Amino acid sequence: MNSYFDLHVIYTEKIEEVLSRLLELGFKYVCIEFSFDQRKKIEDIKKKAKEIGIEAFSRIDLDVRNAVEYHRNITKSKAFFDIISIRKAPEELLKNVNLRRTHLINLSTVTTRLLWKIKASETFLEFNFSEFFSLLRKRDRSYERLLTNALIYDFYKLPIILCSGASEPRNLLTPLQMIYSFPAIIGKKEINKKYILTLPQLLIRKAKPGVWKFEGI
Amino acid sequence: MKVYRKRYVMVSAYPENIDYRDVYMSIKNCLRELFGELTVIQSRIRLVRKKPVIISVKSEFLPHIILAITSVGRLDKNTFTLNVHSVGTTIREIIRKNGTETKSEL
Repeated sequence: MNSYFDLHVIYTEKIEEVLSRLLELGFKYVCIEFSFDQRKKIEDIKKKAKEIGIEAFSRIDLDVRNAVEYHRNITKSKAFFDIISIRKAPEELLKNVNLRRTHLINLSTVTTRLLWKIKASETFLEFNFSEFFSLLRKRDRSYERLLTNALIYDFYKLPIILCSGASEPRNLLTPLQMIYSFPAIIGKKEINKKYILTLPQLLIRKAKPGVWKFEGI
Repeated sequence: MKVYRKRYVMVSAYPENIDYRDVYMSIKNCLRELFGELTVIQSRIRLVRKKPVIISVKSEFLPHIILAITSVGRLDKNTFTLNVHSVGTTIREIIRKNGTETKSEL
């Protein structure tokens, strides 16, 4: 059985149900989003996840408006969270700051003008299914931007990671659903499981060196 | 007569005990909403088993159908969501896949 990753699940009261369901669906690794105030619960949840049979990592999603906030929040978060992600940031800010300090950037916040900078900084990009469906449901025009970004960034072979973004068990997807839905969304024929297998593995290895002793998990 | 390649998809609802007709109709409705009536016809979507729900589809439309299945309950107002557990070329194959340890194997 493959070791699939879901790198975005939101921490709520139902987290244990979510973790059990993830295991049922075939995932082995999960990354749980906590807010900064919830940082004390991380170790406890990681232990619970291990008891359930799933390996958990922690992440924080930052909304930043300027460079000072960007650097301050990242420095503050590095001590507590395994993965630091940028959920929302102005284009001008992303153009001028060092992106190597973050691990993940949401695909809806970037623009195509940042393509070469992101490629050079080796930052990973996140495609969130919950966000995609909520934008599509609201008929919000920003889903077009999300799709364009996904299409272009995938064409230039930037590392995109597929995540469910679920906060409750009903919103979780199986690995098959993620792998087949993404090509259908961006109009691509090739089916590839790297988005939930090798790329997330690379990200974890980069964010937490030494977490796995052996190659190939 | 042109022969087309079929794929079988095993679907489960969350929460369980949802009627198979609701499951099938919701998939068709989502497919229609996302890709239009022509895709519904061209994909040759059919319900082949009621329990577990297995649908057959033309192989080239497999990603479209899986996206439609994923959209149920997320895009429309259904109270349930659907998960795809296995995909295969024969009914026997996907039942075997799901019966063994590989629940979500490619």
